[in-house]
Amino acid sequence: MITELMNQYISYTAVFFNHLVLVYALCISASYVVLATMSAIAMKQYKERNSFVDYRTILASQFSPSVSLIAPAYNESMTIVDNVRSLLALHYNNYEVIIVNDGSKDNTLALLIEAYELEKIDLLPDNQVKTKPIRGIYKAKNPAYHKLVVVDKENGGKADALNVGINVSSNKLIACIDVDCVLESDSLLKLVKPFMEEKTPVIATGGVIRIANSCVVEDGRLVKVEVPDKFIPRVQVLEYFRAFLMGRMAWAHVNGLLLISGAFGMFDKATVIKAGGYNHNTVGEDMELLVRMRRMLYEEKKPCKVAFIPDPLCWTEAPQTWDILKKQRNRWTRGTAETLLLHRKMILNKRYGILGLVSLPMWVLFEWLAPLIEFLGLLFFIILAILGYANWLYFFSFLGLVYSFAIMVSVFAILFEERSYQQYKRPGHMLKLVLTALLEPFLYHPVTVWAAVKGNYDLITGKKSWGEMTRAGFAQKKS
Amino acid sequence: MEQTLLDILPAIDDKLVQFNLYLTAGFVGLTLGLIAFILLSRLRYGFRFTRRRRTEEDIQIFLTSYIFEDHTDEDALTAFASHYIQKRGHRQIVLENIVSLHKNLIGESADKLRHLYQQLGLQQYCKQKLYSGYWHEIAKGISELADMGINKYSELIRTFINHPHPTLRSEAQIALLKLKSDAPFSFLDDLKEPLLDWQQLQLARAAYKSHVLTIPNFERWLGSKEESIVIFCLRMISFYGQHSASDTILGLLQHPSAKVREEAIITLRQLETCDAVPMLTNMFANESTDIQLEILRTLPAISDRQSIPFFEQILGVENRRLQLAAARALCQSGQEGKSKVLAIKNNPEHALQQLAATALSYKV
Repeated sequence: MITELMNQYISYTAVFFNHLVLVYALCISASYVVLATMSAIAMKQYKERNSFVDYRTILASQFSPSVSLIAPAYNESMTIVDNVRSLLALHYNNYEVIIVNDGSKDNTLALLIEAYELEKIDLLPDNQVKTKPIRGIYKAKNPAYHKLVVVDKENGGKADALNVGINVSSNKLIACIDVDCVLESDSLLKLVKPFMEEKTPVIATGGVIRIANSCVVEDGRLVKVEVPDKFIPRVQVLEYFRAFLMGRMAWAHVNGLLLISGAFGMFDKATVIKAGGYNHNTVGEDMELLVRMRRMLYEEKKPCKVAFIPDPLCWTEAPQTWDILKKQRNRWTRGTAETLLLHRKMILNKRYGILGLVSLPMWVLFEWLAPLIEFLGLLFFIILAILGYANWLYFFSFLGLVYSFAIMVSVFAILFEERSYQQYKRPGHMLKLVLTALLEPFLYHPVTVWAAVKGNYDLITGKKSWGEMTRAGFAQKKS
Repeated sequence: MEQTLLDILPAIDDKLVQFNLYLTAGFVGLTLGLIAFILLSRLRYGFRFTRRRRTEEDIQIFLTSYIFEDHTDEDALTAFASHYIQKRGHRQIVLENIVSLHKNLIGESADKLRHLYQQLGLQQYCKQKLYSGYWHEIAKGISELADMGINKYSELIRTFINHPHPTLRSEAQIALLKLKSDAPFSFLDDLKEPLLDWQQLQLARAAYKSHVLTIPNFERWLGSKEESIVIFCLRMISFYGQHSASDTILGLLQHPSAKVREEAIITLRQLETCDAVPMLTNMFANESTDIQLEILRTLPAISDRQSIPFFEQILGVENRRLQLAAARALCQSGQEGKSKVLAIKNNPEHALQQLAATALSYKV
């Protein structure tokens, strides 16, 4: 009798579980379909509009907004000189480059001083955001580098370094970048434009970040695009297609964007300062800042817009070992969770419009909780299998469903890339990416799920570190 | 006998498995279709690209001989028209090549090209675009007509200057600027939509590039109710150095919009309007920090020593940005002002010593 009851109980649970997982999977799939559709519409509209744009208009005008480019640097001696040179050569008239040496342990500062003939100057920064102390501010003796400002400060992390850059900056727009990124020469022109073309004030703009592994970089400039040789960065090419071309483009279309990538984004400085600058207490400072800025403006009942452009603007080096990848995803999970918890008041709160009612709930359900649900589901299935309650036919049919859907989404993402900017031009590139999409769900995805689970565990146990991100650097790719 | 869930479970599971299999088959089919589509579109794109390049080469050869030969070969022209103008795709390539070439030519060659454009019926083709249901088609038509200097349809183009789509609005405004040589900016009188910053940039560039000869007196729109038009005109006044507008600009210092007041101050600085000094110092106290900073940047450019006491007074306020701007203003107010800042810098006891050093630094 007891065995029969237990049998019945487990069977009911299994049925409930099957249905729950199926419904959840269908919801995620539906969200992908909706986002992809919106993204396709947004992309089409953008391309139509852009066919009338001549960016030389911005370049030639004295009325174009001035921009401060802020790049924190920590132990970047391998690439700093080349990277700064490429930043100084961007196509824009009115901009300054602020490199914030965040207490590097290597000779980053010395290399900069030597290469750009820097001298210490008297400059009292406008301390509108609290930061760690500044040791010195440098400018070039050589007028050829007049756009360059180097700030040396005590180590305080990326957020603190960006805040120092904000205090030192003299322009109304700030572009925050990772110094090891390679920017397209017209990236500032493209990122500035949304600030000038909307009736509703734009507070931030982001663009597409691309993976630079295996690409050929010369003197801090990307000269040849290649699909990464290694599997891990190659999967990230697909991930970035999905996230940027299919996800963020769609969110921006409905003004529900919550994240401008820390690798490259432009902000209205006054709004950033009013919101309090970057938060030192989270590892997801890029997302947290944007959510805080938007929350503040919603509370002040001031309409605002966060724009996104699908042009490839910035190339970054993606992790190419499992260990670094796990650290990165662990940090991303903690950053997302911290931001969502910090601003939980906004979730399902109609006062915050589309952000409160759609964006944030979807981030909770499909970004933060998805790996946890997936992990728990797998765990539950293993228990059922051990107890002999697994319905193997159902399991394999569901696996087939999820797998085929995942491949389809990746191929859709490749199609988006094809129809938008087609950076990977050779047929071999496409074939490599399709093959990578076939392998991703089995080889790569479980690792990122595990890293996310670990990230949640670390969040609960109070881990705050960034995790050292070792990079191979582009210098080795020099031809 | 009543059925329990356990009894119907196998049937439910079967249905779910079937459902999963159907969806899987659908996804696999769609994926294969997408891959095939990507491959085919690459092939199609490559084929189109090659074909277009060849067509363009032929068209360019014809256009060159048409422009530079003294006598037009009517037979060749007829053959060209029957081959390239009948098909819509080819017609558009011909049009784009003529427009592009016309942009780079002047004088007789440009006139000849415009004549060909009309002879081939491309003017009508462009005009038809103005009746399209798609905004980008209309915008393209407007832009092509403007680039070819066809001002016959100016009134039709004018109907688009308040269109809901900003790009179409902008193209219509730029076209009118190019086509109405007697009154290039007259469309400003009828604007109901704001002039976005991007549109202002485009208009300014179009005016500069098309060498508009009759630059109007922009003062006439400074009373516009549309704030963005006032700002645009202030920028144009500054760009074209229209000093006669100074008195009206002084009046704008009382404008209800802070943006207009700020732009007016910048313009007064560019025009070096000395009469603005008393008004700027009087309004200072009631303005936002941004406008106060603009005033502090402007005063040293339009006054000599007379503002020094004012700058010294600002050094005493509890706002670091204003203090720094005042110190910089002092540095720009001749030797007397500079020596005052130098004295602060050389006084280690002074609370503003570092600030004075920053102000004096030539690098900042």
